Amino acid sequence: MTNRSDKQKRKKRRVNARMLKRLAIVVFCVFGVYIAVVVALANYQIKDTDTYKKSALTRQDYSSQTLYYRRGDILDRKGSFLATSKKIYNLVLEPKNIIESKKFKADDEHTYQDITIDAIDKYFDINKSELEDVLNENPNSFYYVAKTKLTYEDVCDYLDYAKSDEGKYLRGINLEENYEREYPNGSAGCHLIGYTSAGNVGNWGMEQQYNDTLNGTDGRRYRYMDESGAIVTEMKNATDGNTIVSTIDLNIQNIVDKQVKKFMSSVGAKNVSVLVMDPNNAEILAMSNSKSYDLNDPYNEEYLQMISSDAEIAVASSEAKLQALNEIWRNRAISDTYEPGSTFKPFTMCAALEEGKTYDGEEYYCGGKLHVGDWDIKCHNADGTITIKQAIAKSCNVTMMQINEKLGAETFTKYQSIFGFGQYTGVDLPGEASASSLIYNAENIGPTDLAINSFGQGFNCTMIQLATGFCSLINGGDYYQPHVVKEIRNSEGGTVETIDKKLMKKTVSKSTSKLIRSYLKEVVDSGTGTGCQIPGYEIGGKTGTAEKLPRNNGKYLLSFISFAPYANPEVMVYVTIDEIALSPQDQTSYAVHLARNILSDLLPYMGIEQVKVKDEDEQKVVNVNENGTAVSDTGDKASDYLLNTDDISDTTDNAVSENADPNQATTEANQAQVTEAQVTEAVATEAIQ
Amino acid sequence: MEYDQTVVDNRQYDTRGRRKRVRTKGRMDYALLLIIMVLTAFGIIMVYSSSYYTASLSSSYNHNPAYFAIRQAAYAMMGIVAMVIVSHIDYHIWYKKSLFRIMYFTMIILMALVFVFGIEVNGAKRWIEIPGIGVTFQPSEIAKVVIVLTLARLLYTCYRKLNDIRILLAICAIVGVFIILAGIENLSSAIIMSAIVGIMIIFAVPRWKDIGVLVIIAGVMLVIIFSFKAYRSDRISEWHNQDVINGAVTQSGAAISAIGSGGLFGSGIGQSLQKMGTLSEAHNDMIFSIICEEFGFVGGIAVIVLFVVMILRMSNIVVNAYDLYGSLIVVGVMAHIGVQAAINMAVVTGVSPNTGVPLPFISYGGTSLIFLFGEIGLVMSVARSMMKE
Repeated sequence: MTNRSDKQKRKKRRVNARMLKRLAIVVFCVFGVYIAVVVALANYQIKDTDTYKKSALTRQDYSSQTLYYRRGDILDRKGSFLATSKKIYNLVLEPKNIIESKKFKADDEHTYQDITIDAIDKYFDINKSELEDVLNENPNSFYYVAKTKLTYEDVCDYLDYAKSDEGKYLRGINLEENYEREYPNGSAGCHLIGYTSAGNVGNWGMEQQYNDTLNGTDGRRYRYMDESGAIVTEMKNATDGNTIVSTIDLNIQNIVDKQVKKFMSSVGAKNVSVLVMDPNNAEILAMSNSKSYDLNDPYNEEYLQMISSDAEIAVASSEAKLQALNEIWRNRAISDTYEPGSTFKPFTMCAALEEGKTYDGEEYYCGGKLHVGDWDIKCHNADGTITIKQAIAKSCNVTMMQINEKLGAETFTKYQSIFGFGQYTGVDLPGEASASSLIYNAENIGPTDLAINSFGQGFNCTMIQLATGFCSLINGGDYYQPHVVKEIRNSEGGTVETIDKKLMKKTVSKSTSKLIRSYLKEVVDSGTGTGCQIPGYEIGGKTGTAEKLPRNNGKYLLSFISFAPYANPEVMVYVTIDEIALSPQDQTSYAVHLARNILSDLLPYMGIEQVKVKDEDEQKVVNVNENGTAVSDTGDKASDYLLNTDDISDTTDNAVSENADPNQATTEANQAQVTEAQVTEAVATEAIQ
Repeated sequence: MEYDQTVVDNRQYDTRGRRKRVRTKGRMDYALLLIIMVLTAFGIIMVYSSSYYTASLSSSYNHNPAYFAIRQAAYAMMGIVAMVIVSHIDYHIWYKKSLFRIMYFTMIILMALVFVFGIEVNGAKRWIEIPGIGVTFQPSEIAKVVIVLTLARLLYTCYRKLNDIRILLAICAIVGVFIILAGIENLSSAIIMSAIVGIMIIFAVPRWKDIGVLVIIAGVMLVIIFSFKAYRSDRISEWHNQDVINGAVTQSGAAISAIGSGGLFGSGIGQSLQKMGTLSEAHNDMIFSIICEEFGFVGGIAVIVLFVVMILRMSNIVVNAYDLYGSLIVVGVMAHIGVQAAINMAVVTGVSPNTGVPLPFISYGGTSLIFLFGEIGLVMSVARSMMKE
């Protein structure tokens, strides 16, 4: 190009008319596209806007996938699973994608769709016609749940296949992972463990109490395409829940469950509850209520037969059924309150010993009854002159009333409170009752109330309250907070938190504790609890036969609280039997025997050291069955229960005598609300000293 | 023919006696400038609105909801600086043979380097990193500007020979190198480049017959590229299959849902549901659907109107440019922005099949935004030396 030509051309080199025409054509073509866009927008945004609004909302569900967290396990103290979460799979089909996959050929004969349909038939047992129905009914769906709760075994063949060469042709098959709660031991420890509903909501027991600890956080997976059409995945991983290690020993729980079942089948009662604790740290080792349920199937209406007749169930509303199920689910050992009866006597005795109101070896006279206030309150037998040790052993009411008289209302109620009665123990289980309104205080307790309170009538407590207090009496006076969880671990197994024994207070001195242990041993050696003797073991215990309200109805709550070994207690077993299916009901030997049966399995299992068995003891054991027929009016099965196990002694320790209807005030369920008039009346009529 | 009244002809001849082009003291096109600024500002807002959710979720963005918006604003600043500088440079500087050659070959080297040092993102290499400072950029975005300048120069110099098909083929071969290099990794960029080349040729080449021949040759080339790139065909079938594995849905399907749910006036700024993970690249290629969801039909139309006015303003510059070289540059820039916007919106509304191109000035992207501003700088430079008839 020369300078000249450059100059020449320069003038002409401007846009000409032809170019402007071309420019106009191009610009109009581009505008044509814009107009098409405007038409499309008008179509979507003005004409069909409602459809798309819905569609935009539903799309949210499929676009991102929830990654479910795994709820933590519940282990027993030895590491056995009490509750665990098992991975399950839901088969989710994407009908739209399966339909679309018809367009692609995997080889000359098969399309992607053929391979997909064959695989669904082969691995998930949904045949072609069933699948076609699904596809025809949901042609635009991306989310059709075809099967739920498949186990790994169900899907592992498919997973292998999906990874194979042919697997890449599969379209629209999606396995959604989730977890299902599983309780490997069925009903064992059901009231302690609890169950989950609605996915991961804990109900009752540790499942409820530690719900937040066990639960984790869901993650989310987003999948989308980037500008190039590549699939991009963004993950926010799920955080698995923590595992809790409980203080429960599954073996002990099984021993207890077995004995409770055996008792229920051979004797029967309205309810039987057993609580096993370690007195040295108030760890709960086992807890059993006779109305148990399978944690894997908590809503089964068959359980209702335990409390109602078939006819009643048939007409019951679903609300009534749920309420009835709640009766089965609730943990009676911590939720139900009752009058403890004579098992409370050691508490009164310890209070008096602590206060110096009595001393070891002090003697009292029991004439069979004591006049307190307006009433003669009876003992079950006239013991004559007895020491306080014998009073505990023979469960003498009169001695206890006299001791309590010395102790006085103020001191007695103070000690009741020290021993934890009327207060929450703070056990880490839901539904604990405090019974605080069912107990007297120094202001409203009358002399009659004070008298009968001394042997555990006239006020209410829970099993956990009494057992925890009792543990402190026998362990040297340390009152620990009862608990069922000892450790929290993260999902990798690292320890997050260790829950050690928590000393709440000192209740009694070491010497008092030692004395009461020896008294309680006397109960088993020669008193009302001889039925609990097990060769080779030194066991202490205390019977309780509480007459239920209303009085004189012949309804009793039998109980026995025991511990072993005598010198250095390692285990405490507390048994309550509510309204035993016998007539009369006041046969406390059954509670003693239930405890004995549990202990005879438990002590060897726990490896508790045996003492040398004396010949005399052996002799005794051999003889027990001979005098084992003292019980009358019982079915054969019930008599067998005692015969099969151990000796029977007539250990009934009747609580309240019936020569006069005891003051109504003391027998109302709401005893705490004693009217002023009644208090004055009680005070006015002085009791015998 | 009259010059602008403020003509200052200060460099009539250079040392070799060649006459220098007259530089006029025209003005920037302020209407065009305003449109660009409105689009960019709106873009930053929409990038924030459409990305804060995903950005705050992702640790790779430090959970900073404004991560993308802040970066986009910074890119816009750099772009404005570039625009101002370029607009004050006589656009004939790009015509200089030496600079032109450097530009052309550097560009080819850069595009080739992508294959060697390219950073692979989602299976496609498009980015290269400047060693030492860790800045990444997309050579294909720069190549679009280079194609405009190259083709403008070639068509301008061969003005008289544009009836010769051999010359036309040679010209196409020279720019076709870019298209092929870009097309290997980035089909959408190749499509935009082809559109730029096509429109500039339609504009400049006198005979429709020659244009027809070139279109047929281009079509054949495109088919060859498609069949060679097997992986791309896979990806395209994947699109058609509408299967995004495990329950996710297609991008365009989600985009249409977003648009449809916007209605006439939209759900309000920041109220889009689809950006919550359903719609990928919400702040990027699919940003128009979020605009339509949050600002409705009215908002969508407003954006389109802005692009229409932009094209009309540029057409005015084409008509009144000082010389054909200037006109060709502006036609190229116009083709780039106009076609890219059209394709983007057509994809989002389902009018055309899916290919990922950003919406000019609005979509998130640094290289794209900075060089778009550079192109506007070129247009402004042409506008400044505009002649009045």
